[in-house]
Amino acid sequence: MNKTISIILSILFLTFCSLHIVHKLKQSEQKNKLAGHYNSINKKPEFNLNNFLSAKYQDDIEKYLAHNLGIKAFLIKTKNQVDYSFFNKLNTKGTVVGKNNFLFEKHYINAINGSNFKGTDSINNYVNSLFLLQKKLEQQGKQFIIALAPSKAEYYPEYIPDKYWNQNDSINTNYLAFKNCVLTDSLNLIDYNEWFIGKKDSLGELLIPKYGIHWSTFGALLATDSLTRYIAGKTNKKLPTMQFTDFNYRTKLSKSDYDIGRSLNLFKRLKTIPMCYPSYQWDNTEKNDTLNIVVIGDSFFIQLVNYNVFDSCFHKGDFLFYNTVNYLESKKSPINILTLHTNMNKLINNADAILLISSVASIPETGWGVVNDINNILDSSFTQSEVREKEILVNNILGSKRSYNYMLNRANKMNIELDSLVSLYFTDKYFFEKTQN
Amino acid sequence: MVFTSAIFIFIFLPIFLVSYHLTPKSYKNILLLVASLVFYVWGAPKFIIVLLLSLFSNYYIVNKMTKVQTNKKVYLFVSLFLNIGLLAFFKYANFFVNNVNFTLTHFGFSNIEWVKIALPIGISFFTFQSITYTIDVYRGKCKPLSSPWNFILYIIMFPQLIAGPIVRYNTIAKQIETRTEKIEDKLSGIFRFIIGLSKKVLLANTIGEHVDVYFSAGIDNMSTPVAWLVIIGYSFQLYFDFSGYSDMAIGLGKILGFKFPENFNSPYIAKSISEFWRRWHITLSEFMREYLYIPLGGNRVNSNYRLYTNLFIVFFLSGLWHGAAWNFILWGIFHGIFLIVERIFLLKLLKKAGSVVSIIYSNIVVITGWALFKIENLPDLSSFLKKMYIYDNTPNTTPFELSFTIPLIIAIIFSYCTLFKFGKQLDNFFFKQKIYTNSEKILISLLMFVLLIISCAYIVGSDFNPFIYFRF
Repeated sequence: MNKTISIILSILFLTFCSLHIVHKLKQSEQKNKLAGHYNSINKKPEFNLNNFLSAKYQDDIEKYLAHNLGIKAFLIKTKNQVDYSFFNKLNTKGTVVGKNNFLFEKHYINAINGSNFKGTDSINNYVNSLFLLQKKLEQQGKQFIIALAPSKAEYYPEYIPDKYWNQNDSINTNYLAFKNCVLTDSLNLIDYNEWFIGKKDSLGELLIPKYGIHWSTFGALLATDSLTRYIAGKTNKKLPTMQFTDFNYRTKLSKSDYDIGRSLNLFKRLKTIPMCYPSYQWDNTEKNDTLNIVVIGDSFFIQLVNYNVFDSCFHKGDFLFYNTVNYLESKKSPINILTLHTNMNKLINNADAILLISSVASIPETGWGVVNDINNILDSSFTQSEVREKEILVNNILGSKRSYNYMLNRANKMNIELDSLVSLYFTDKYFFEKTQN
Repeated sequence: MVFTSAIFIFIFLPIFLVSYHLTPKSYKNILLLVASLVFYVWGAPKFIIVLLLSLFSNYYIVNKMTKVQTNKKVYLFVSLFLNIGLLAFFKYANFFVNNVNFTLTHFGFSNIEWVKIALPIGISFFTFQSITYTIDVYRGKCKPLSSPWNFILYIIMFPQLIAGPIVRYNTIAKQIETRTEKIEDKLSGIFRFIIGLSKKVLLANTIGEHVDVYFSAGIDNMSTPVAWLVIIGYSFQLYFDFSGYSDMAIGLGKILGFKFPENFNSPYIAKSISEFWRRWHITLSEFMREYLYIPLGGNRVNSNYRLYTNLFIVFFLSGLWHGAAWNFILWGIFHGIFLIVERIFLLKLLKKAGSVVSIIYSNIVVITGWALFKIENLPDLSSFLKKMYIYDNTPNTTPFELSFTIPLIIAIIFSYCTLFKFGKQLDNFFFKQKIYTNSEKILISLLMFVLLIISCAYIVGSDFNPFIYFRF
């Protein structure tokens, strides 16, 4: 009996160590994929003698294995749970545990504590360029609207850990400088940050969730409703409006209301208050005009896209994610369609309105070059600048199985190296036309 | 390949263990040899030929030595020259040339042109093991192995190839060709392996991450308390790293039917530096004693001067063995000096002072020694020692995270618990007890499973830091 138990226990340990091999032999897909954005190593390293002798092959194989281990998701969640439960440590890049366990992204904290302050002159110049662009577009019969999405750090400053606050009493931030500057100019501006803060006493976490980075589903719906009405007013278009019916509350949160929480990849879901999920519909009774709108924005606008703002309200338009990725077109494609591959001249010249929407923390990004681009388009002097953030995009292509396989297939069909195809992707405006079947 | 890697735990180990246990007894050594060669080639593909040539040569020299009636010493010296020469060339040639060039530059001469030599992994360990084979056979303590393949197996057996313990030939000679494998030993070997894995991954690596952060922040930015905290952290990082690796090697050996010697015995409860070296890297101390100190005369020399010189030589060489840099030599000499001083008068004083004072004294000396061990750059070393011993209240800008302090506290508890009855019982239970009851096996297994899973989680998850979203 003694020996039997020892044999059984030894076999159990051996079985654990064999799990990956068994997983691979069964060719099982990884269940319970991990949340958050990360790059995987999809390409199995190729053996050659030189690489083996220099030990590069071994390093590459070990990295490949770490990324493709059969029980990787389970092990990652184990580590994250131990780190969070015992050490209050988060393994998602750029995230911070605040007081009362409110989770923040450091980017927003840097904005509110002035760490990324660009200087009053820089902000003044930016606001001025926005105003000039607005005037130029108005002359062409187009409306230019700027929307500032709320910052969680601005909304919950009381939960930011003390160590992130500067010792100086007076803090200058890009947002404050922007607001001061805008007072003297007449920009078409909707400040959702200010609007949300004004409603914090009555709505609290319902507008910006404890474990989310963006506005809540409810907050985004309110913003969508007010934004579409504002745009309708500015463009004199009769656009469909949102009608809210039931206001349901539940603790099973939507992905966007728990995005930081999800990205932590924990076993145990963090507890929150019930959040509000209103039912809505678009009412187009006697208001069904088409508005061709080009939106340049960040992830805050993605929620509005998900509420069918293009299909049900504007009926026409494009969304340029960070002025780099053509978001709507990319949804129909296995790889991102960039602004490079888009006819930007046509897009802007045909637009009735242009909306620039970003969180207040992104003010330093100055629209990701869009002011310059639109000015050049209107002056007929537009030339596509080099694709921004190439490294991130390359990692995104190679790190996602879907896009990696797509590019590999294309490269094989065209009889060129994958690297060459990737290079073409970043330089050739007609990449998609040339690489279609 | 290291034990604390996904490829070892999830690929190499299961394939090897299944194959080993399905292989008939007469072929097990062949399989183990092949696996060890694969293990070595994976980590150091360029050196395998050098390694095999030197081992074959050594085997045949020693074989010849046993067959001749006269001039045995010649063969002994040829073998020692081969092993020490190999170590000297690969490990110390760069150091030697750098120092010569430093001197030449100082006197205005041009440097010697030299292509840096890469260091084969495990060379410090396998050359010493090879030396023990030569000397033990020469002394008649053991017969030479009948097959060169068994000799190569003894040297490059993967459990102890990379980081020891240094397994003297006379302690393992019989086990190579005839060993008994028992399931109880295999299970306790598994437990031992997991304990070692946890020590390395959960304690040493986590503490070490933070120690590196504090050192990267700059020695100038440290206050005296921070300097002490950081070097104490390093002391435990080093201990759990090294002892963890030894535990894994001993555990793997047990699974295969080998009984490797213990390498650590609660070194931080030592009451003197002399005792420290009976508890820290025990196999190195035993090697140095048996193959260097005793041949030099050991304790049975005619004069104290000769005795102290021998001790100095042993520790000088111990320091040099640890690394080809002046800080390692300084560290060795540092320990040697304290050993000599203890012999002269300090041991008697420490006995009178009592255990607590003695333990504090040894810890201060050892921890100070680790500063010499850690910091290679001599000006930085000097700055750091000043920080330790001349009070400095520079404000601390690097926060202390729970992920440093909690593992550090656990490490301290485990390092000193054997001072107390409960700690000794725990130590005996996990490391010395040979037979467990069924319920003990199940309970320990549950604990080991948890540790194994968490350790593997830390191995696999250490580089996984996703963004919340794809964004620019």
